[in-house]
Amino acid sequence: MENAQLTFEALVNAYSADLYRYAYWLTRDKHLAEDMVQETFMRAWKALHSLHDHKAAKYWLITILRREIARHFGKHRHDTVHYESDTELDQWLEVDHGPSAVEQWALHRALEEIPKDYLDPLLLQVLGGYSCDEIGELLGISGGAVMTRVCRARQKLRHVLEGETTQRTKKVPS
Amino acid sequence: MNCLEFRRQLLSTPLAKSPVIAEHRLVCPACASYAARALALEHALKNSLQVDIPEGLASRVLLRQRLATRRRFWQRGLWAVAATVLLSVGIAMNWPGSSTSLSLEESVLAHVEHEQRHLHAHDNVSLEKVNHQLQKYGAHLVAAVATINFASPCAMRRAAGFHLVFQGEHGPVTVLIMPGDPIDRRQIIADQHYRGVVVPIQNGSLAIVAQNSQDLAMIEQRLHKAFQVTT
Repeated sequence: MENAQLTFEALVNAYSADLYRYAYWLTRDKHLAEDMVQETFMRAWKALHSLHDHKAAKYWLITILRREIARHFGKHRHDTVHYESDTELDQWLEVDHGPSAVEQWALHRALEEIPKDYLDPLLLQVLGGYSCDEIGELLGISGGAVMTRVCRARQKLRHVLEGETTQRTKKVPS
Repeated sequence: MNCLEFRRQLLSTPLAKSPVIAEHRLVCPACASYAARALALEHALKNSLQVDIPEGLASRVLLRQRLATRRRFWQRGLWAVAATVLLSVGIAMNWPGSSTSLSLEESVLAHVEHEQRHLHAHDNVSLEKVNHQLQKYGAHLVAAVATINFASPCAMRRAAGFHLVFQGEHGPVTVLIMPGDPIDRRQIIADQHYRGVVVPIQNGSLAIVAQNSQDLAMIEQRLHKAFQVTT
């Protein structure tokens, strides 16, 4: 029991931030993201005995979190995805983020334009640090399909940030 | 490796280190520049995804788990005691203890702490809607107390209750309606962050918790006039 408590506390301290960020970008709602993380850890606590490989803990937690989010959106099909209001830009700019603040903000908004099917593998790659094959296993698609999706996600980001006109005028040498 | 393959590889795994990629970058200035921009984008992307974590997130997760564990432990313990008594004495008894190991004060403060995200809600719930929901608790607000930022049924220490957050002049004020948890007299509660009162109502109690004493006094005074239990 004591060991289980210590393991659980270590998992919460090590992974709650990563799980929250992943949930935030999938739900675009900070309150819902926290709820999802809370539910994930409660389920993880109840099923802690089934975690045999502690090295795979983060992957295990992400799997639970993904189920929680799917369950939530299954129950609330008519809920619209909530986006943070435009006033967030003002709050963002009030803080000195250095010369790249505006570019970061543009990127933040560009991320919101990426369809979830493309964003999800991108998050798992950048935030989770997983390979395309590992992501494919989580999402139930092939590693090749993951590569295509993350390519398209980054392509979309570049288009939004650099402007599609600029992109189209640049010819890629073969 | 040609330029298209190089760029596709950069888009799918920009941080992957491969000798073929490095070689192509050396011989193709256009792709070298493309790679520089791709890496800059990757760096910016990584930064952008690092949204701020709500303060105290890990503590709230651990608090919830501890409360759930203590409650389960207590409930199991209570069943074990009840079963033993019934078997050995052969009579039913009315167990006088509480159904939780937390005191009323602890449970109120833990509830506010655990659900502090509601303190930031701005749902602007109408009095009519709140009164409609309060019906099932036999309660009623005869007049507006303050702007209602949040209102929802909630599990309390002993039974299902109701959670409200009013807008005070200096910050949010939480009100918990707790049926089935009666007290004899008004109690003052406090911890490092919050101060509050628990007052007796018919068949239960009502807690008011705020960070600011003036807000607490104002909401208590207004609730005293506006809050009625009808059954």
